[in-house]
Amino acid sequence: MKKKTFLKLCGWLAASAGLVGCAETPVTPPTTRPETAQPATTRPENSRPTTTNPVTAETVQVPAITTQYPTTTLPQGETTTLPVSPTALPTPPVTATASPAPTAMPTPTTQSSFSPVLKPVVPASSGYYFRFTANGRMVFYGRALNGSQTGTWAMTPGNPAWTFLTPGSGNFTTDLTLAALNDKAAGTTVITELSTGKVLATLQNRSSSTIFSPDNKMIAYLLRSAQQAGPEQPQRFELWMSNPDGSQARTVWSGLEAGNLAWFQDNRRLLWTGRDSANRRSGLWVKNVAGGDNAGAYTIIESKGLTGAALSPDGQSVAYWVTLQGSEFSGVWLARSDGSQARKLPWVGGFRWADTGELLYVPVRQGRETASTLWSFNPATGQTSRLTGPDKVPLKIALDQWQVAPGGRSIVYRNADDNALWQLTFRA
Amino acid sequence: MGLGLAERSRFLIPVEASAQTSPFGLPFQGPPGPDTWYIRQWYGNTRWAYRQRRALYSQGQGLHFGVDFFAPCGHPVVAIGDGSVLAVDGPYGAAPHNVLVRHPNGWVSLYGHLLARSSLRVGQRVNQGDVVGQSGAPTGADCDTHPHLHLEIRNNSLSATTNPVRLIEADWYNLTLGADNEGLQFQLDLNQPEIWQTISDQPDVRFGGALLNDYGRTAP
Ligand SMILES: [Zn+2]
Repeated sequence: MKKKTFLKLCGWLAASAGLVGCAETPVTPPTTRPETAQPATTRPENSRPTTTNPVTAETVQVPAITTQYPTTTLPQGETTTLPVSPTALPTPPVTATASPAPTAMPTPTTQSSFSPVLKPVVPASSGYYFRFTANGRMVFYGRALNGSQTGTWAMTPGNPAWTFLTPGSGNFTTDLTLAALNDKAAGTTVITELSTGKVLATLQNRSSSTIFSPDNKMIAYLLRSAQQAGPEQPQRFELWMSNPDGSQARTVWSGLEAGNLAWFQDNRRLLWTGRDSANRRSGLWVKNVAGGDNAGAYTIIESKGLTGAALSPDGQSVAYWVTLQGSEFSGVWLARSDGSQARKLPWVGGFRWADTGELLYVPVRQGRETASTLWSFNPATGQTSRLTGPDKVPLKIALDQWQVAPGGRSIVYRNADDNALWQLTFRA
Repeated sequence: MGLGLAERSRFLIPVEASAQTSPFGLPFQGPPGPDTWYIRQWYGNTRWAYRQRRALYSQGQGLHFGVDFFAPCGHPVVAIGDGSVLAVDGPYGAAPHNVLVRHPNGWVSLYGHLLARSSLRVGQRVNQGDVVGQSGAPTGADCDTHPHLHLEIRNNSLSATTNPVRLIEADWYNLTLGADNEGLQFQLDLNQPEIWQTISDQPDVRFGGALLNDYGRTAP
């Protein structure tokens, strides 16, 4: 790094909130660990190479960061600070030159002038199954910052306190009143009132992932049948629903290769992907589960290779993958949730809905791009916006683990370089 | 059982191979895409492997001992490195058809679930990028269900496998296209949530060894 550049960067960073130190290399966001294979005899965790990329501060806007993870509030009232030294968060690949602008992306119709900000949220090897509650808290499974207790925690990015919720893992209502905790050993899902610990129901459902309706009044899960034709044959599933106390349990569908179960916001309909039992019809299914409706499940989109469906927060749209169906059909699709207006989108990549109604997406990197670009597509207006790119922040998402915070101004993601969770704020 | 982190993360590396970081290439020519090929299951402690630990993967210590690349039936599969054909449709699993290539660095690559018997002959030399067969599906007949190439990298004696992610030069996360499923996420040991949660931190598999992922408390 050039001295002049460094001083400039250092001064800028020092002016930013929460800066702990300003040394020659260490104070920076996630790093560039090349995603090539590591030397075979070295554990990657033990060797975090630092980047040799120069930082050209004249053309790069460096995000504000902090290098210390927040403190933890344990249930006992104990407060600890994670002993993370600045060097545990290696140096960034913030280069404007090494990452050419994407060429295959749709033409942006807007470009934000906001400088994206990166902040560490949860340290490495923690923060599993993270997702946001309605009021912006983040729920995840991990070990306490003092290294002892494991369990599910809630925290607000930017706020140092972690609140312990439960030793188990599972799904939660968005207001954090109820939990559906999976016990694989017992083969059960335990519906629990979080504030009191009261158990409402113990479902003998082979510990299937159980989801709450938006009004918390119903639960549903896809039960993988115990009897299968074979592990590589189409897998059999039953779709079950009941009240949270387990009453009125009933099967509402059975079929093959099911997944992506979600409630519509109206609490009356469920959506999932799969095939019918005869293995003839494949695609995106909907069932009205409101009382009195005895009509069967129906497909809103029929296609082979349809997976990864995600319903928009308002329930009006659904985005989904179609794969291995030829170049004309394979890709990411968007349709109205009645199945109309289905269209293939002009990009391929991971996507998430924001509560603003936008579909945020991270296209597959092209050519020599060293980091990802985050885009927004608004189905209502057709507007596409480039939110960040490798010229601004070294966004490198591991395992497609990222979630949009309520309000649609930031995402939290697992950084491929340090395996920690980081928050990327891309709007003021 | 509370094995320590170090013991649980053993890696098995032939001496000849250790000097070279990424000696191999990918088993397909051309870029990944939703209509060509993409990664569908990582090596190691995947969620699907946990589900199959006592069935499909019981002989592989419960782990997925290769990397799965989804591809349409008939898509050409290429050798990941120079070498010579060790076996065609030998008794090495990954039905209905497989090919094994022995490489000069001591590793053996296995290409499984091929659509048809490879036209290669045992002993024939292949170069990196040469077609070794066509991608197929495990059941052979049903190319709509899990059509994929299962790629293994075994040791010299074929008794163990190692993580291809560590030996193949690739922008690995980009190869999933951003799609998601239980083969692309790892099973969590709730008592030890620090281990085996990244694509490079995965243990070697010794065929016939004890299950490594028979967790007491686990998620999801
Ligand atoms: Zn496989």
